Amino acid sequence: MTDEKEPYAGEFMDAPHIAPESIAARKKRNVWLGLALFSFVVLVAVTTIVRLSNTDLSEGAGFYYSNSDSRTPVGEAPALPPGMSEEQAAPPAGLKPDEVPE
Amino acid sequence: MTDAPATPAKRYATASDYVNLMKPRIMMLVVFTAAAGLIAAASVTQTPINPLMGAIALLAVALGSGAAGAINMWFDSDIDAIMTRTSTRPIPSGAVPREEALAMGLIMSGVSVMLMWLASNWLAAALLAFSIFYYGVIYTMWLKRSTPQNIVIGGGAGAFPPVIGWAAVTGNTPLDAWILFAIIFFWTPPHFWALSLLAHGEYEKAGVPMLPVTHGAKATRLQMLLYTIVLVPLALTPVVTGLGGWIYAVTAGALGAVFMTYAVRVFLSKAGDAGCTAAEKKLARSMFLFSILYLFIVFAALIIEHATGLYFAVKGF
Repeated sequence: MTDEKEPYAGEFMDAPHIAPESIAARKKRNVWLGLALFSFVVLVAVTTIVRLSNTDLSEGAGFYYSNSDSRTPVGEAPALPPGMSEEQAAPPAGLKPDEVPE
Repeated sequence: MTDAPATPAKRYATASDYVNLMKPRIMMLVVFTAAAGLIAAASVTQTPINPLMGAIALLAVALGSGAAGAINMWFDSDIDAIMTRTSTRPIPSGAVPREEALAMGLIMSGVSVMLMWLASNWLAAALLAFSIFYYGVIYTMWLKRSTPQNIVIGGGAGAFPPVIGWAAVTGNTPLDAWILFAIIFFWTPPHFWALSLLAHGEYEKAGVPMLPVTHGAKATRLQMLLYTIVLVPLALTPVVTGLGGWIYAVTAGALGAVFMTYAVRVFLSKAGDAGCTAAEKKLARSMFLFSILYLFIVFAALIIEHATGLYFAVKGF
């Protein structure tokens, strides 16, 4: 005796029918979306490269180094310790900048 | 039987549907006026700008304009389906689902603002973000369906691009930038109402309180004339501040005279009234088309003067 019932009949949903036009349109959209994402990545990369190449990264010049006002700008003498006068901090008389005392 | 639009036939979205979602014709005008602000700022303040960064800043403006257009189409898809002029747009025609348009608008808003910040500065990026918010939320969601002054106040959104372009170069927005803003602001009502005189039946059907619907065609023609009277001398103020030279002065003066002539002729006509003639309808349409040409050429004169070194100051100012 054979079972005439189709195996698993009615147990699974039919696969949805997707029109070929719909698949083609979706493929095209995906290609455009991919291109758009790629363009965005390229744009961000190019912008970053150009901005960084135009930025002076030396200390005290800005960007990474001058965000904090507490830093002493380059070329400016640091603040004297409490109690020390300008005279005490001054170099010995007659000392030339390039001379190292022995 | 109801007047509700029939369910649109299913069709598959193409790339051009997504381009149309960004309102490309408005985008062109937006990018052009932003370029005018950018070029004028670089020339007037002698601030050099990397050409690539300038191009990316303009691309950001274009994306921002497209984002605002997509958000507008998402929100207005119900009334777009009712009006014949807009019923073929991507959402009412069934090509693009509403949620996709919203997602596209929001993602592009973020991308455009980020790109602008990367390529220029935070002020230009903030102004771009605000202009998208202005068009997408203040105008589209609030003003358009609630007041006949919708396009007057909402016109501010379209007036931002030259200010954004200026800020992208200098990091600030001086008087000259706001003069360019004011020119577009006062240009918008006569430009848009010239179109709505022809299409007020459609707006009425969709329940949009455009001025010709709420106050009639006669009041609209008067308002168009008044705004044009303000616009024409205002368009000459760049000559006073030194932003515009001889080429700009002659261009803005001559085109302003033609614009004023159109405004007076439309005011004296019965365009938009029930019994208006085909010639009067044609006159309103001509004024609408001329207004687009007017803005393009006036800003082109600024670009030519500042980009090519053909700036010759008008003595006495």
